[in-house]
Amino acid sequence: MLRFLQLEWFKIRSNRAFWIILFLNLLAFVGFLQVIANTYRNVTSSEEKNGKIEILRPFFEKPFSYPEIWQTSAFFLSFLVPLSAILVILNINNEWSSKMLRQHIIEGLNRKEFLLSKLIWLLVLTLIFTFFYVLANLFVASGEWEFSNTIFYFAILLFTQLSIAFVVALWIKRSVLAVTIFIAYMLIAEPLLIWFLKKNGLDSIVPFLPLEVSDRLILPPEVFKFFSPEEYKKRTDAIQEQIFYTMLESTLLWVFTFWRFEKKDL
Amino acid sequence: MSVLQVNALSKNFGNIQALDQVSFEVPQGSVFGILGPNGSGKTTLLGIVTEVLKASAGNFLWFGKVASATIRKQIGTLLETPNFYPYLSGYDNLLLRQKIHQRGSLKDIQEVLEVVKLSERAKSPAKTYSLGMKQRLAIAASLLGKPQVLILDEPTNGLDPAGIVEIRDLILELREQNYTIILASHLLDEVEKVCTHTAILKQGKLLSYGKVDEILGKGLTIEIASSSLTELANFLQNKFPQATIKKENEVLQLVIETDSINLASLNQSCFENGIILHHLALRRKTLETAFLELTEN
Repeated sequence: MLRFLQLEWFKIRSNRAFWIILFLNLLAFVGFLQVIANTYRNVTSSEEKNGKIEILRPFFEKPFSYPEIWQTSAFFLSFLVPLSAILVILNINNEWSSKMLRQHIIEGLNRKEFLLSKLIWLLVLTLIFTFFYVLANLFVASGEWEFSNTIFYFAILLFTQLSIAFVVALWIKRSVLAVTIFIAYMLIAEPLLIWFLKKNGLDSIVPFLPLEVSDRLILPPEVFKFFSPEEYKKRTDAIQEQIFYTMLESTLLWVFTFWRFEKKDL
Repeated sequence: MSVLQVNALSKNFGNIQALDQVSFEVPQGSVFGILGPNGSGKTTLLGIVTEVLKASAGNFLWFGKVASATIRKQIGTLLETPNFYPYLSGYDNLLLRQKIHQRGSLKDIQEVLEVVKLSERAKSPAKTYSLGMKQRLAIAASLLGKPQVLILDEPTNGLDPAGIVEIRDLILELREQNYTIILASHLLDEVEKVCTHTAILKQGKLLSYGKVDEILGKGLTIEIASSSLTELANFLQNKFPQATIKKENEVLQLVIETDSINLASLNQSCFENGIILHHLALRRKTLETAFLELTEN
């Protein structure tokens, strides 16, 4: 296992594009959360001066303080998954475009080992992005540090959605097309599908859609309770269930990929 | 003992049959040339035996065993194009290969870089290399750690004439060292110079395979001309009843199934029969002519 990690490290350590995109991710994580927190703080402080905050206080209770910030930040930072996915897609595309994937097989790596090295690498990337998430919270949060399970939920969401990006990149060899398909599905196709399913009374299917299954691990900031308390409670109660479905999705995705890759011409 | 045994290997890409029931054996210590026009299935065949492509039917054995990652580690391969991470240096690319196949030591990397004359550029990123340099680096990669078998697919692609001669000499040197080399090439002259065995493919079918000498056969072609070609043709037909005689550009082509012929004696014989020759030359059958005969029929 360490050998595979060493191989991946050897490949990326001199890859400038990787480090630039990783750094951009770090900037985006911290910067995006900082911008949202600042906007919130500016709005609430001006409202407070005008004496209006008292009415809203029950709903706007400390979303950027521990422990609530974990949930707030996870919700907003999950919108940055496409940026993190670019790193995964480029990593796989690099193997295709330089034909190194087939070269590794020729040199004596078997297909399972190749995928295993990528799976390990994806786990490492998940840890790195989770660390960025924690770091962004440390920069932005107010109050005293408090742990939250949301950190794990965010890590599971990252791993699952980056795995989907990985699979897209593995089957669609062109990076631009793979990135476009992933982002288009994430930002357009799945939201449209959710809208369509809800409109046709098929709400029960929604939690099982490829990205939605993990999106539901992260609850919206508590302010959303105000708009739909019942729905919010339902989602809170369903988190353990969604963890199971998300893990199941990731497992099935990887099992299918290992099985299919074994038969593929490279 | 055969290093590679290919049994009725077939490969379809949709409706296209890229390989059709191809069978042959590569003897140990041989330089085995795989010849064929573009699209004949050479690279597909090599892709299957290196396990990047899956055969539709048939099988193959390396060293008498079913192929595996462990066996592939004993094979140095240059397939199609030289493949490297462009941002890694030539040295690091070789080091990465070594980490995968685990053949040889760090010292071997320096050695193969010297063999292909890339030591001075070893630390430059591979993307700064010319096509010829990349090709040489790929050959270095395949030689790394002294593999038991070398597979070289068009190894002289992108090389200048001096580079081609160097690679040819290198292959001959490796042949002397008892390496088994499987070489796919379009350059028939190169193959004839270095190969001991050859297989000829066309449209996925194996047309012929065996020792190069056997494929060339015993045929000799003599170009012969005099002022009266009709008289000369009659004389030759009487002297060599089994021979084929063709007229081409005021010269007769006499094709005889024999290992050797004494041209001085033939000239003397013509002279004694009143025929004065003004052109007499021996043309041995080349792999190119054998290849063209097989592939054009």
